[in-house]
Amino acid sequence: MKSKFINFLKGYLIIEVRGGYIERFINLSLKKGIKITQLKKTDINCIQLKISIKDFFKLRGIGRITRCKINIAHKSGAVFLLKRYKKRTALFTGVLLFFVIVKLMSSFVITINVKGNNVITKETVLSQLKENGLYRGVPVNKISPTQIAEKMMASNQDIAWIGVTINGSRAKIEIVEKKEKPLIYDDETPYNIVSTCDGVIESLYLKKGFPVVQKNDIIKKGDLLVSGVTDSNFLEARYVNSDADISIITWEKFKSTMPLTENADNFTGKKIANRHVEIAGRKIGISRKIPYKYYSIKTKETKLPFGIKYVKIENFENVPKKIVHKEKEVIEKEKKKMYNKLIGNLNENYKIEESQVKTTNDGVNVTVEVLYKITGPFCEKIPIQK
Amino acid sequence: MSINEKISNALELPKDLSMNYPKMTVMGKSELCVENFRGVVEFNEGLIRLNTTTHILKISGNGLYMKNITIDDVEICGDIKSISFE
Repeated sequence: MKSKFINFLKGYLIIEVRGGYIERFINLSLKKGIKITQLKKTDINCIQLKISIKDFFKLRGIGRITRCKINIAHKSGAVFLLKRYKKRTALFTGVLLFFVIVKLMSSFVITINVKGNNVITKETVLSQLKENGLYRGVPVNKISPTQIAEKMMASNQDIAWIGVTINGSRAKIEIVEKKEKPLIYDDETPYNIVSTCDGVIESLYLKKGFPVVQKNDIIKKGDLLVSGVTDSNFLEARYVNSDADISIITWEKFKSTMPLTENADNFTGKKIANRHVEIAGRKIGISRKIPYKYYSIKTKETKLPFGIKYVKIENFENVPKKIVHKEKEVIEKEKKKMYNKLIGNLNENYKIEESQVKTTNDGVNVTVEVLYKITGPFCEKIPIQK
Repeated sequence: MSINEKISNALELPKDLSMNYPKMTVMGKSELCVENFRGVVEFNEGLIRLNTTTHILKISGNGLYMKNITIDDVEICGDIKSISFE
């Protein structure tokens, strides 16, 4: 197989030799060091043989001596193929261009994959990478992954470890995020427990410390709930790291007004797209007139290497439509919004209940007023300065 | 017996190397490889005569052809019937 391929590359000929002294012809050509293969007798005074192109030129003298006529029956090999396509320059330039483009495309970073980020958003990672020299369209040989990883770790405190690997035109970024430090209250320093909102104490189970308030007491934000210091006139003050399970009820009021009628988007499905290329601040492209009275615009920019920008502007026809909402739907929607807003800051230790709902409808707007009752540990530990 | 032959007999050297004797390898009925040959005497589809260092080698058969020839060895293919020396 290998030798066949090499033979094809070098090129070979199948020739016919005609004459009276064929045996002499063979012996003379062997003496000259010519390698002959596939030697066959086709007629009484005719043989057919396979020979390389190099050796063919040595045969001429031998043909004259032995009075043999040499004819070429068949040519094959890469040399003859190239000769046949010599005039087709476009074909060769196409082949060359293909390799050049493949090489060019593989020498730039095209995609960046970010993995392992939960708290940090992909956008912030990408923007920080861009500051440190890794972005779409940067030449691969200009990047040093270890340096970028070190810079990223230095600039972003939330990253514990970052791995940057570049495979061809693909950059793979793996992130391990830092976990938040747990709050540790050491026993050496004393703490007070203080409320973080106004409300009523629902329950108080003391573990350590000296209680200041009782069940059903009304408290204000910043009030001392459990003290870490003994309050005695006779004894020396004792300091304790106070600890207690406290549940506090608080109320929060939300109010919002919403119009019953609304102008909503109504896309007709027609669109006209204008495209242009920006090179060094100059725009090149055709812009068509937009025949719509109402339309909304969507622009998309793609950055190409060498500072070239490709901009696509799509104009969608958008005839606004009036929508009349039902009162019940608006109220439910608003309530859901408020609830989501409230629950966003709280964890599973807090309970939320609706205690009062008030709605007013003046024909144009609907006003919703909700009073929420929230039960939970609204308190924090504060160290005592001795 | 020549001195060369005596020496090679005494030292048990292979004769195809020391004396340039022809060495023939027959592969079944279809292939024959001759080393140390000295040229083609006759070449036909039914009969091939090769000159070697010691004898003339006669190969008869049907549809004989030479697959590979160099200055020292030749590979003959086809339906071989007999190999004889003249």
